Amino acid sequence: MSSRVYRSTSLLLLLWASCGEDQHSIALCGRGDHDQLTSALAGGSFELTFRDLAGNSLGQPLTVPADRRTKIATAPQHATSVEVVGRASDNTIVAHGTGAVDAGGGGCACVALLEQEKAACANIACSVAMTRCTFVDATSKQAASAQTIVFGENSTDDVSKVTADTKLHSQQANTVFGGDSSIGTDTQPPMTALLRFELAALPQSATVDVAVLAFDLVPAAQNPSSGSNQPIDFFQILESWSESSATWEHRDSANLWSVAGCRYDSQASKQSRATNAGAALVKPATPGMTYTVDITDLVRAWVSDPSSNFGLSIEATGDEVDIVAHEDTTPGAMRPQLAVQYHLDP
Amino acid sequence: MGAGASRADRTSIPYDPGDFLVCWIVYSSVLVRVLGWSVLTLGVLARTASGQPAEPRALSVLILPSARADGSAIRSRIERVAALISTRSRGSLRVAQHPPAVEDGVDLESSMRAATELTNAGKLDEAAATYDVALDACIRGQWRSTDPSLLVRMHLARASIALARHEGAVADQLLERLYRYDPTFEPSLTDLGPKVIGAFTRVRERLGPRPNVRREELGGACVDGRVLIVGRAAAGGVEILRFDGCKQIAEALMSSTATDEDAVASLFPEALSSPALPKKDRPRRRPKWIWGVVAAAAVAVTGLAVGLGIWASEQKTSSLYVEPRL
Repeated sequence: MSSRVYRSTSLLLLLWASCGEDQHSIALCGRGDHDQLTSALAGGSFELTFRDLAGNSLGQPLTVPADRRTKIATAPQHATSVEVVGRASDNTIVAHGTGAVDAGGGGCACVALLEQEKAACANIACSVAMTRCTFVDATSKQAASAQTIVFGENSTDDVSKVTADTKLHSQQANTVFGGDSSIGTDTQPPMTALLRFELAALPQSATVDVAVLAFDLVPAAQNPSSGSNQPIDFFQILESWSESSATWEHRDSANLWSVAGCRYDSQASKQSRATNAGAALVKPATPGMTYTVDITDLVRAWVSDPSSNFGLSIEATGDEVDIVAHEDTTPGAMRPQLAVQYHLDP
Repeated sequence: MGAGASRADRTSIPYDPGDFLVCWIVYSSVLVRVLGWSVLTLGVLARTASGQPAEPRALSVLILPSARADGSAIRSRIERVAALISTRSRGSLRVAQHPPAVEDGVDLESSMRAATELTNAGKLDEAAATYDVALDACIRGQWRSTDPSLLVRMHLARASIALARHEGAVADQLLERLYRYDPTFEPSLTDLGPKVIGAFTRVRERLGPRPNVRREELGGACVDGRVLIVGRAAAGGVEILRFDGCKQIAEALMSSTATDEDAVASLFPEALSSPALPKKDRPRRRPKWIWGVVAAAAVAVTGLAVGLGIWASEQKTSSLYVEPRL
């Protein structure tokens, strides 16, 4: 009997609900550095473009304020996704995102600062539960967990135009090697290789789980001296430098290195790079092979304080080691890559 | 009728209904026996021809390689399900171990050691050949190792060499097999370069979250006529696949809460009998006319719901809000 009453009541409630206003919402869920996102969009606006399954835009973009809930006309019929462009108060584009639109016209879009979109929203879907945004992996539908982003200049890398590299040669102390296809390091004569990745694509709020630098040694046929079987050390650089003007003596067109060659002088208590190696690679022996070195601690420091990211200096402890540089255009050559596995708070 | 009566005499004997009756009874009893034996013989032949041998069929169990820490738990769970299948089949399916112990198979530990030394010495061709011999033996089931994760590491190491030699297709083939073995495999950045991880990620995206298991992944375990239960790790549990004659015909995705009975029911929905239910739990039989009434009621309710829906949709208004949640 009670079951019948329950069913009847449910039916009546459903009927009552269906007669009222049917509310849907498009949630714009911010991900990445929330504070920076909020301040970038202060006084700005969002521009929403609805798209159909084929990606065609449906109607004109709708503009709403970035800082409050706004009622708009219903989503166009057949809309399956929405693209969101965030504009600052001066109308410059500062944020971007996309999301799915359901059959009822509601949906959710993951929105991030323009440069952080790949790290924060790529392959991420969102929804709102109990007034909070939740993010899931768009493929597996599991809660978003650790992701990996690869910095480098290879066609498959996630974030490009971020690499700077060069070598400093003690016997050609005023020569710039920034455009060479390899970066070499040696003990006799002393040579230092420099390598830096711009990491602005990673939100500062990201927790770096592991970061691995990968590079290829120059194939033996091109450089027989490669492959020394000797360890090479990786040091954190402490001074800024320019790929287009750094030499053994100068770190850029105007300034000298504190210690020539981006080195450490224990007697003079001066240093252009950290005292101790942040990482070392034992036996890079096989030209043509890819070598990896764990530089998690360095990347953690750079992500939490981007102003400290001057990159790495690479110093051989034995024979010359030549590394494929980002300028190498040989088909199949792997330019240096930095893969970072990280996670963002939900 | 005299003993020396001629054939012509016999045919001339007048019709006797009593003799005919006796003859018919004798004739028909012989006919019945012949028919009976024929039916019995044909039945036996048909039973044999229809694939129901007197001997039970072998039920093989194959656990696909994985580097997961809970590999042994997965194995024991699948073996438990296989044992239950055997029990439920009332002996018509008998569990056989696979792979069988191969005393003279390739020793994976020493192969891996040798290949690693060759790689470090820059002898990539020799290292690749060493890996290929070992991996080929693995596919055929002619191997021995105490570490199930070794197969995974060998695939990755060989793929790494393939990528160094710009043999993308070879690397893809190895990584694809690895992913089909274990769809939960997560490559570690500290162990592998981004090159291998990138290639693996592309394979994973291409195959989707639940790649199928092909005949080549089954290797030597695939024997025509056998029932093969294949187990592998799956997101949130274990996936069990049933192959019959090397063709996948059923699957069960077992979460941590699913029971072995659930898996057996999914894998063998047709053949295996379950114990009889207690009388009180048996489903009640309803008179047939009740279904007519139910159908009529369903039609009426559906019509009413559709009508109400149309009416309600005309009454209500719809609105859409944009809610920034930065």
